[in-house]
Amino acid sequence: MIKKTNLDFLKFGLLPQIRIGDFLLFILLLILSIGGMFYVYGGETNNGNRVIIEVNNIEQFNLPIDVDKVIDLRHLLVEIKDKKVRVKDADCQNKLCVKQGWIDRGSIICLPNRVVIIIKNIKNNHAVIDAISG
Amino acid sequence: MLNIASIKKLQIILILILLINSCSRQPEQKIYKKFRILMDTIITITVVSPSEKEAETAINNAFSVIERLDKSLSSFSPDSDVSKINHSAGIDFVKVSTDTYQLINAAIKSAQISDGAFDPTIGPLVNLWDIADIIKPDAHISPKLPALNKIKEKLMFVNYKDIIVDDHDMSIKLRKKGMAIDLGGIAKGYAADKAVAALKASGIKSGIVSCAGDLKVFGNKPDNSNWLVGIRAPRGKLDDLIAVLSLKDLAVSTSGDYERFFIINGIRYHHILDPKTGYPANGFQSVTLVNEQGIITDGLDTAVFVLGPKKGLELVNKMGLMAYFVYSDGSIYITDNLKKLIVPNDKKN
Amino acid sequence: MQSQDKYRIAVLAAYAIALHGVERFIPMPIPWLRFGFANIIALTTLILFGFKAAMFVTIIRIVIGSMIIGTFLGPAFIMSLTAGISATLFMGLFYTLFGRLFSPIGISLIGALFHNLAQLGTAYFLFIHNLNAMLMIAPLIILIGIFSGALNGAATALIIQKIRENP
Repeated sequence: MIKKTNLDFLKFGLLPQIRIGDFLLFILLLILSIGGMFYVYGGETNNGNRVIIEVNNIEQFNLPIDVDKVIDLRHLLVEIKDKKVRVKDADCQNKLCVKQGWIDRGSIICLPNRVVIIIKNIKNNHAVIDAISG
Repeated sequence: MLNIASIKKLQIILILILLINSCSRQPEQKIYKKFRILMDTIITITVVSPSEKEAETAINNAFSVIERLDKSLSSFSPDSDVSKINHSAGIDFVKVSTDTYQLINAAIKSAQISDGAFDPTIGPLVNLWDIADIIKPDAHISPKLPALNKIKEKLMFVNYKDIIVDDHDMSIKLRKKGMAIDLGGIAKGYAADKAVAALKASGIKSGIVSCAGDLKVFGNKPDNSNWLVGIRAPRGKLDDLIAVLSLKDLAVSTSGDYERFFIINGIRYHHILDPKTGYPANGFQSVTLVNEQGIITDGLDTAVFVLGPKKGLELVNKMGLMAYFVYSDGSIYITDNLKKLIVPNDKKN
Repeated sequence: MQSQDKYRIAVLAAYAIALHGVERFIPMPIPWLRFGFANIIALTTLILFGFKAAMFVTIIRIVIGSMIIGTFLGPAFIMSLTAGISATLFMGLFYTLFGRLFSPIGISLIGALFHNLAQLGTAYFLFIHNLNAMLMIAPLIILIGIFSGALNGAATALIIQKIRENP
């Protein structure tokens, strides 16, 4: 049987149903996520200079983004070209990582193969360095 | 509720707090730093000490140890041990200082471990290539490759097995005339070891001795944190770093193809020569080794560089060294035992 | 549970599975973006038949749906399951506690938010221990979730209205 609900008075289309709570929640989440995006991407003036590839949570490759290269990870084929990275091919079912295409910032995550490809900016901070080797 | 027992407890705690405070009111530990030009490079010594006077005395002691070493090893001064050995090559034994004796023995050991990839008798080849002189800013000679027959000729004089060591009176002889030892590939690591020992003997508990690519850290910083050591990015600007290590009581050595080199027709000719071919070794942009002893890291980083990625890694694993490789295509390999010493990028600032 | 309710739950679960499947064939500009249509059924069930029924529908939908698609017990299945359960759980919680403040749209927003948070959390703890990578994609996923959540909520509101008009 259908339970009595507190929505019974809303019978005239969608608009009258919307309440102030919906509106406030929508705005709050919007501010939080857009603020979060600015926090994550906004601080980076340039996109990053290294491509870091982790397999099974272990860093396997740390490559310069400005050297074109194709890396065979057995399950994935990763391509670096023109300061961009993509998964060229993958043997997983849905190939989401391949569909993501070229990225020049952020990351590509392939869950089935536990591969994380991240573009990072590895910069220096000499204020905290005590000595340099090289 | 406050009862007598809890008041007593409170008193004990208060007294303890006061005691701890008075104990920690020691003279403040500060960092003191000095540099000097020795062994053809800038040597920086950093120490942590409560008094400037103690720091200065200790640093001076350490510098005089390096200075003494430099005098025995410099190929520029005619009466250094190395010059005498090279002049008496194929003729006679030369009695040498304890430093030189120890260093040559260590060099021979590195050569044996690496099957000659590091070779202290590389001198004739180094002189032939003369990369150090060609790239001087005031040099009027344009870079030129040595002739192949010249290289082949010099290669005959490169063999560490032809160093004869007389253990009884610490004397050395090179078997063939024309041979020359060059300890540049191992001397700085040894100097760092000796200078750290001198600092410790002067009562210093922590500091850094840094001889260009080779350095050794001991103890902690005044705030009890580890020393942070950057590794230079091979193709970056002079102050670009590729990684930062957090270290205590360890030596670090880096050999890179970017230190001294010239380029002809797009090919980079650098100062790390392969004793087997007579040409600069390829396969790496830089090799950084980390170990307790500077003489091991300095001697073997050249060897690993020359051996190339595959055999070099085998040697690193065999010797249980920590390593940071930058291959010639710019990609990086870090041994697992070094990974935990690397400061993550986002924690650096 | 009455047999009539069992029948209703079965029908709703079947609807959810169908939507779950249909969604896979809708081309999307961003590959891992999903509308989460199945959540419409979960929310409708929650409002009309209560929390227990909604949880039943969600779990049946994910287990049967993944068996049909062939991802059963794989990483995608585990992520769907934790995400689906936490979305339904928090929708139920919000509906009983603050039902008067929100329309189905608000409840659906909560569902989308916790769906995504649970998915990110599961991915982090079970598969990819890279906090940096997770934090990088989290705001974008949550942002997209707000819009699909609002859309699903609106659809739910209209469906419930229709059901009430012609019961």
